[in-house]
Amino acid sequence: MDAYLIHLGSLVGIYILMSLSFNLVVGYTGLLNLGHVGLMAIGAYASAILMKTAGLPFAVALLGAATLTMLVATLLAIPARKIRGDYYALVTLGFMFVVFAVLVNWESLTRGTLGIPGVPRPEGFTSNAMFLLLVGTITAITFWFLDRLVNSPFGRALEAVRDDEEVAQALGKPVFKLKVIAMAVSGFVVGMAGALLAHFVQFISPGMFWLDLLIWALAGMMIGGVASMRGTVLGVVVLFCLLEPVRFLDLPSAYVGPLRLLIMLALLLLIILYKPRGIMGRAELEG
Amino acid sequence: MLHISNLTKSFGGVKAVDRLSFEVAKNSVTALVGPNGAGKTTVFQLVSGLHETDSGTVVFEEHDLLLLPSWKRARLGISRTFQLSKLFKNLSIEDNLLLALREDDDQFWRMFFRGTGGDADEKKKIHEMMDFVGLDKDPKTLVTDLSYGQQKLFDLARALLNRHNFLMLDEPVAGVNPILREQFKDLLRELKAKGETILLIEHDMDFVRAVADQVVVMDQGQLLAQGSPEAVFKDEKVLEAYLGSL
Repeated sequence: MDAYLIHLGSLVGIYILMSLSFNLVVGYTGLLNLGHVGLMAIGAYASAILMKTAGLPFAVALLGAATLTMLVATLLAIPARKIRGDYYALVTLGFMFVVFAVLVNWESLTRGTLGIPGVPRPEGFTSNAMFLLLVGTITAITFWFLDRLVNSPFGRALEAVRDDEEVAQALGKPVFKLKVIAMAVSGFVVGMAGALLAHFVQFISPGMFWLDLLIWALAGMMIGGVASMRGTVLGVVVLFCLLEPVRFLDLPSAYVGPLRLLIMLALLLLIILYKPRGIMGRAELEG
Repeated sequence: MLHISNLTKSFGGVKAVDRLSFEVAKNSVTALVGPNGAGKTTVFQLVSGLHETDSGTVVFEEHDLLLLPSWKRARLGISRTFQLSKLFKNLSIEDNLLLALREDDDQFWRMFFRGTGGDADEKKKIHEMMDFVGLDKDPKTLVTDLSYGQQKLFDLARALLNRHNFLMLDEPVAGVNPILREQFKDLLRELKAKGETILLIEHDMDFVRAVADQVVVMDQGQLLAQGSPEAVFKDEKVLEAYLGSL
């Protein structure tokens, strides 16, 4: 049981990183970036390839992957100069499909649908317990950084962009710059999350970065709280607490995954209908 | 201070603003009037950069505004309100006003170690401004909890707190009760006495008479008349076509 909880702990940390970065862009800045999971895939593949194929040390691979993801996220912010709301969501969703197609088809680099097995863990962190320590440390530092960021005047300026871009501009806020920075920071964090996932599971394939993972990010934010970093942590933990017991039900394994997804969607629906700000949220997204 | 020349803007086939030219002098109150759909709010949107201009020039204190994005125009000192109060609806009164007060909150690293609560000086300014406009509410109140009239007062407070040397007020008393209307009138007179430069859109002609030094009348995007309130409100063309009730 301890081994299972230690294993689960790392996953919780990685999913927290994914949801925190999602909340920064969606909950605080109001950019419905549905390409978030595509960014995570870039981080995962970049780190796996840099360490396994290029033989770079883990720290370099991790930071390189996060930086690459940050750059791609910055590019993904460019359409946000002109496009808002649902249209931006569609553009970024399209980006996720493009990333998926590239991962499947660029076989010489990604091995396509076969995925990349044997992604190494960093030296000294090969056991699950040590890896949990690594993930826990990175998650704690990232949480502190993001919580500090959103509770600064800069964070309030992001919220102004979310609530009304026109007024923000009329008050002298460089809206596009704020969006770009939010996307870049979010990209760096979700790139790290992807990299950690790759080294934790030690296998990656395009199917791991699909819509169900996006729903995880969305549910973590919506349940915990829109525009609340603490709420996001709570949301992810609540989700794990509710979904993990399903594994222990006496059900055929083929039913477990869909049932977990069904429970998550039901929760999401209930939250959207009855508590649209989430448990600890400070904002309501336009719907 | 503000020179508008041959300003033109079309939406599809409709010319919202058509070769409009007028000037706003420093330390004056100019009222932009005209029937609904005359293009008054479009002029505000064009000057503040929230709509792109088709042609013409807008010069503000020697700066060609059309070369600048909206936020840079604001930083030149152009502050405005909106016809329907636009709020950062998930934030408190204080947070909304702090956003107006601070110009450097887009500086990522400089802001990183500062809390969102304002310092003593900022809180004092907010308190004084709320007193000035007569907004008697706890600053921590969510802006959406304000009544319509209070939102109008809040909108004015936010525009005034935003560092500015030119104010654009879009129908500040539209839909407010007569008592609040008088309160707004007194506020604008006080601002005028302080030497503020104001461009004002308003339908209430008594209000315009009471506060404006100059009136610019628009119709179908074009300039119809311009001059002192006394002269404009005696202009038969204006009276017959647009201000028949006067």
